[in-house]
Amino acid sequence: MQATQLIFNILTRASELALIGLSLTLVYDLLDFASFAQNEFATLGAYLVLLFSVGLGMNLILAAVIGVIITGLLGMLTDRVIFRWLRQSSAPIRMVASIGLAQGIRSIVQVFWGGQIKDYGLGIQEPLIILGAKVTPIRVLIVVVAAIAMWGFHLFLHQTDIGRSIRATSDNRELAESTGIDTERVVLYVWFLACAFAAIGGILIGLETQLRPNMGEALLLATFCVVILGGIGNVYGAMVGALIFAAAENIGIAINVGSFQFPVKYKPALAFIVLILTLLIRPTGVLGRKES
Amino acid sequence: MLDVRNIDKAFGGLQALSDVSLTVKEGTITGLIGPNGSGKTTLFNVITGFYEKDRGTVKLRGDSIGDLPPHRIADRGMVRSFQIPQVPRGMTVMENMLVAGQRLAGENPISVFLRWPSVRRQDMEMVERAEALLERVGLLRQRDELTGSLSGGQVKLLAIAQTLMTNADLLLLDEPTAGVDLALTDQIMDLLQDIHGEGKTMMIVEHKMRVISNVCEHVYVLDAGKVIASGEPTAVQNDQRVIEAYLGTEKAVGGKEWQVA
Amino acid sequence: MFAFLVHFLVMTGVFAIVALSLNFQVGLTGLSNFGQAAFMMIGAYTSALMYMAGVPFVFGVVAGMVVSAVFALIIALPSQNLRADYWAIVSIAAAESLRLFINNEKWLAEGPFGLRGIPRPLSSLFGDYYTLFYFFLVLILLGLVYFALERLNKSPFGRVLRGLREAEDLMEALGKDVFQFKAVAMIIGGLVAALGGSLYAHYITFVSPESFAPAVTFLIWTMIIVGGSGNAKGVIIGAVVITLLNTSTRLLKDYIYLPTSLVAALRTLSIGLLTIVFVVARPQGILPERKQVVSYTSKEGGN
Repeated sequence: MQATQLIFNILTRASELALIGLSLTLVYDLLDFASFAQNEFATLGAYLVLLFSVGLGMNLILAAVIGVIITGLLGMLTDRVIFRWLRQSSAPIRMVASIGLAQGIRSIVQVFWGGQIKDYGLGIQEPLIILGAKVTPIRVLIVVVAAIAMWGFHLFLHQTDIGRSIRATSDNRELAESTGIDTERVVLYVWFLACAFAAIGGILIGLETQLRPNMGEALLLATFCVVILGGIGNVYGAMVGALIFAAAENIGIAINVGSFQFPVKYKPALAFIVLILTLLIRPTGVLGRKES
Repeated sequence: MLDVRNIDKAFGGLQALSDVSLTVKEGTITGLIGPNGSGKTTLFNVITGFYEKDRGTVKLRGDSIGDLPPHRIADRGMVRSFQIPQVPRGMTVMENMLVAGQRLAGENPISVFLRWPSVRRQDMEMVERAEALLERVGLLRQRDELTGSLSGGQVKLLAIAQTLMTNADLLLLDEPTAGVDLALTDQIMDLLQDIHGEGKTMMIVEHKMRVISNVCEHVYVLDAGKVIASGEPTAVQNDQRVIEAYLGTEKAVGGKEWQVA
Repeated sequence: MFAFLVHFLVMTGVFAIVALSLNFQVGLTGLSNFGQAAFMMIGAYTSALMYMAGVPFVFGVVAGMVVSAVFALIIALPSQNLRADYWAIVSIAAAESLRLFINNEKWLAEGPFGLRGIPRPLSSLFGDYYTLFYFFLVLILLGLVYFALERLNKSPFGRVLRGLREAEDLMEALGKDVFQFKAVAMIIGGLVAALGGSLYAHYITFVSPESFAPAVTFLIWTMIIVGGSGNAKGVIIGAVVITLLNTSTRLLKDYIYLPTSLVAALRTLSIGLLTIVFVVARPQGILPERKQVVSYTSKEGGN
């Protein structure tokens, strides 16, 4: 396979995973637990956009913006309704609550939209040839949107007041409280951001492939792998982890040396192998995780 | 009995312990004092195997225990209490005592089924022993209460009683009277002296000089990870370096660090 | 109606056994094991394959328990270095890897198609009354498991487990090899779950990797949370409630017409909501954990 094609495949895959991974890692960082629900917020975001664009005839971009915002707000709502009461509970209990939430969101999507495969109606696209790689415009869009989202988030964290308060709360909650930061408010902001990013990720996946009620769930282990690989709790880790993971997946499959070819059916298993290896060898991930 | 030599321990860039050496003679009560943050609990953690030392040796009755995990050290007869007591809140006081028994047949799940009568018998013996100890520390009435409902002082008493349930003859007690009122402090002091009278060896970390003076035969003073003085309580109290260490530091808590009366 | 009732009771019993096994690990020992379905799967597949190969039923079940114990030990190993929620992720990853492996290696157990027509032991003996017989079989085994696990709970072994649940360092300081106790708790839970899996397989007569998806593990967690983590009776009640919810759709179809996918979604939704409600409003479950009064002088209480 062409090197540029490989690189582009990696970038596309990484883009989709990094956004949901970022969502996961934000929740882990500020709320100290691994949320199974972020992947379902991605699904929800994708379907909301479907409702607005295909269902109500809105312009796709407008629908996407509205969908992302609504998902973010719903994320804030779930904190108020559920996780707010669990601040003192142990991490596994919060995980279980997030599992219940994930099941709830997934089944609501199934109830309202049914189980059939749906899509945004963009039709088949002619691939462009960029530097020898065949890429459809959609995939270019995916990488660009993801890059902008990541960069924007980085700027947000460092240049805005809210971003600074998020960083402060993440570093040391008590210290942040004592300097007058309303950490409960920060938590709400983070939920908004996390679910908004998850929604963007879901929409991008829906653009590239299709929408199914289990589209988020199908990526569960891959996204967990990504954040642990990069360092759970470290927002840049999600990006690094996504790149490494996507690279491992694509390069692994591309291995075609002599008579040895990596069995494609094991592509999902790669996720687990990488995850287990990381947890055993370097649990803190490439960039290191937050000390607890 | 306990021989600690040249212990170094660093966390990241912070040198918590530098070349710390001390000995605890069998049958004595030794004190370990020093300002907050001087490394007392760190030293305890190193000695009892909870932290790995960077350098040095720890010997119990002549045998090196420096590389052993805490449970193996406890097997050899040295147990410790914690500055902030760890209490399993879902268990009763009696259960907390029973769980402190060492090398119980009933801790082996297979024995629980195949040797049930002897497991049961041993449990009964342990209950009797626990009841006697609980009576001694004045907690017998709370025997079936959940530990979560005990007061701070009662929890401290329970922790000491637990160490007595074990077969250990060297007890390391980390601030046994921390946060405890005057009356209870007296009670604990008497208890410690009783235990001493029964031949047990102890090393205690303490802040209250009253306890140190009345109970300890020998005292080590730690400051910023180094031993700065060692000797009898009165001598140490009047040692210029020790006074400076306490007064010169901003860590002294409202002057109460140095309670003489 | 009677047939449905017996079926419901068998399923409840089977899941109650698995729920008790998870309760032993989670409720008693504090291990966040999210991979329990894998142990069920090991038990189910091992006993099914062996029975179909002519090995006596009991040997197959025991073999399943042994393999399960080994797997439990493997998963327990990383618990030494990892904090609770990290290790939870390892447990899912390991369980999913095993499931994927079975799914992809067709030569092992028919891969995604699963094992069909698993023979029921002693089916010729009971003919039409087989389900009733199976119910009593499950009931007896459930009773044995309950009794055995309760005895362990009240023994010194159980005390160490409950102690290390909240005070690991203290247990170490008192001479307990905490890792060893955790590993044994995992093993015990694993082999009981395998028993449940075997009972499941020989009743339903069909298993596939899909039967042991993570959703099954989450179902069992819900049973524990709803019923009462740390309370064996509570966990059984939890199993009753959740199995009722899960199997009642069979009844529902006779009365109201709804497309199957909608029914499945509503079912998942109700279980998800139930989980959330209990976690937030009543985390101790229907029957909270009871304190153990140890007394050898009076007739009631203690052992």
